[in-house]
Amino acid sequence: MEAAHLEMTGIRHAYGPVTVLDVPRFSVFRGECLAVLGPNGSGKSTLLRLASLQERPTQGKISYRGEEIGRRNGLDVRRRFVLLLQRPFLFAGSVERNILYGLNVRGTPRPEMKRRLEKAASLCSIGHLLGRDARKLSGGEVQRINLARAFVLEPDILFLDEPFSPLDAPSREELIAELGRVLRATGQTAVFVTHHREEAAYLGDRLAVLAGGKLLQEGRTEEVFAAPVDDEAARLLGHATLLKGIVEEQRGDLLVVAHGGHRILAAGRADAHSEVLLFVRPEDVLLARQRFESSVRNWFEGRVVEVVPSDRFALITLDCGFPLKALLTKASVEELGIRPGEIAWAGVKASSLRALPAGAENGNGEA
Amino acid sequence: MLASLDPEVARAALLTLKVSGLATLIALGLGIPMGLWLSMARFPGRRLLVSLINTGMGLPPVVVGLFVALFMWRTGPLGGLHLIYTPAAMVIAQVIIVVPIIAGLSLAAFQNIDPLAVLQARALGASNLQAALVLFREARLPQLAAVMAGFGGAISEVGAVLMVGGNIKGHTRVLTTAIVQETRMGRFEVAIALSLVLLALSFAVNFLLTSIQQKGAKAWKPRTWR
Repeated sequence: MEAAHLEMTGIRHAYGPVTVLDVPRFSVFRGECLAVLGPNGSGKSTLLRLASLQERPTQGKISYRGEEIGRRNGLDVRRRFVLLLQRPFLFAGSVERNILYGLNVRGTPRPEMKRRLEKAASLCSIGHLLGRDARKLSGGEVQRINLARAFVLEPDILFLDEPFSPLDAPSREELIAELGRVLRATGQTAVFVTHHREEAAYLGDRLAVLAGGKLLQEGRTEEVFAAPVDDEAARLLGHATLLKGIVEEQRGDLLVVAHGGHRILAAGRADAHSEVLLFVRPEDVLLARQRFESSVRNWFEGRVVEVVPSDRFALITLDCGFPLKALLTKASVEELGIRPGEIAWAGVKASSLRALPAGAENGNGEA
Repeated sequence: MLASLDPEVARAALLTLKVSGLATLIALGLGIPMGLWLSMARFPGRRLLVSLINTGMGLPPVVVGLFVALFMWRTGPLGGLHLIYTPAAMVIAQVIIVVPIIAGLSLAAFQNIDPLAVLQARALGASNLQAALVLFREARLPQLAAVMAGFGGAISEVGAVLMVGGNIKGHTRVLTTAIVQETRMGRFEVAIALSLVLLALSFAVNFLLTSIQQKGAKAWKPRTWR
């Protein structure tokens, strides 16, 4: 396996008596975009500040290209990185002055500054803003300037702390797409933290899941999304329905799990008679008025408890003896006439139901 | 007298500018780094130090004059320097009066800047010193208010310069001490003329600083109902 570009080992960070981060190992590889997904207060911003060398961890080692970071090389290595703050601060003066700030503190020669400025301005489409007063920009423009201010430095690693969270939905989608385009076009190594699953899924080549200051899981993005290691990771990754059952038998790659009179087929491995937790993502649940012949192995009859509409979809909660959530388009909800109190059938493919040992300890298992 | 600019008045006015201007410059060099440091550092006793500086902003000039005189007196610890009754002693006394004003107002100015400014500078690769300079640049407008207050405190002060300068005609006589002298002697018209010169000087310096401070500051007035 390729050696890590940036490697953190035995990291523990505390503010006073409170340990906010405890990560035995965290690696960033060259050319990848690593997404760190976690809820508010999970320690993801702290992880980012430590990795980008903005703060020194209470305990632990950080090395960059095999060289350990210390007081001697701390500033030099930090200058190869850029951290994009969640709430960018624009310095008083023009947009151009803001973009050139990082080059100025590095003592970059004038002609090189000019060349980089032009490149970054065209990359982030902000050429027309350069002369403007930095304090008189819209939210979307501020984020673009913020990106340009980072790209102009051509950093070895770009760190982004929830860069889109202050934006409205259309600007956010536009900027995410733009960032994805720029990252891929430049082969930029990037680490970004977010609490939005869609951002992580869209931008991340690899995904690390963080909760309570601990790394729950790390791996290829699609693999992590498909196979959470425990219930906490499953919830963070959007697997909604959780129910406990007892394993009756293992049939090849599938488990037969008993739960309140149901015999459910799920993907996973576990010992017979052991207790497992079952997860399914709401978008993998099929709803119908009648059960029908298909490859779907699990069918549950239930009463509609709640219908929560959002922009194009509706989240439906069904009481099947356990709560089961399904995500449908609004058109399907209309067509099927799904309303609270109605009876409906939910179908779940065995491959979409994940079984994990109940009471799994949080660890750093590879996905 | 004013129209013909009496040489004695001109000399006192020039010395006033020199002494108070130099004292303000030295106090800026000491007070701004002190305010910057206090705005960023956290250590035991910081609150006590800030309280002392805030108290120092209202330091009675005669008390400063007394202690500077005691130090500079021929028999005092610094008597060997022969500074008493020289403009240098007046500058030293005024620096002591002005430093707390500049440090206190600078501290307030720096603390008013969003702490994100420093984080942002570091995030873009600034060293700790470069990040502190960002704070200085962001606070440059309120800093000018500190300069004005400091210079105002120095130029209007009379107690300390009188005690350590001695109001020696042609040597240590400044406008304020001259005004005291003329008033004592009942020459009110001269005292009034000197006061007008002092006010004009003070206004000229402050007008210059205000022009710098207010340059480019456009009023933003929203449309409101009332």
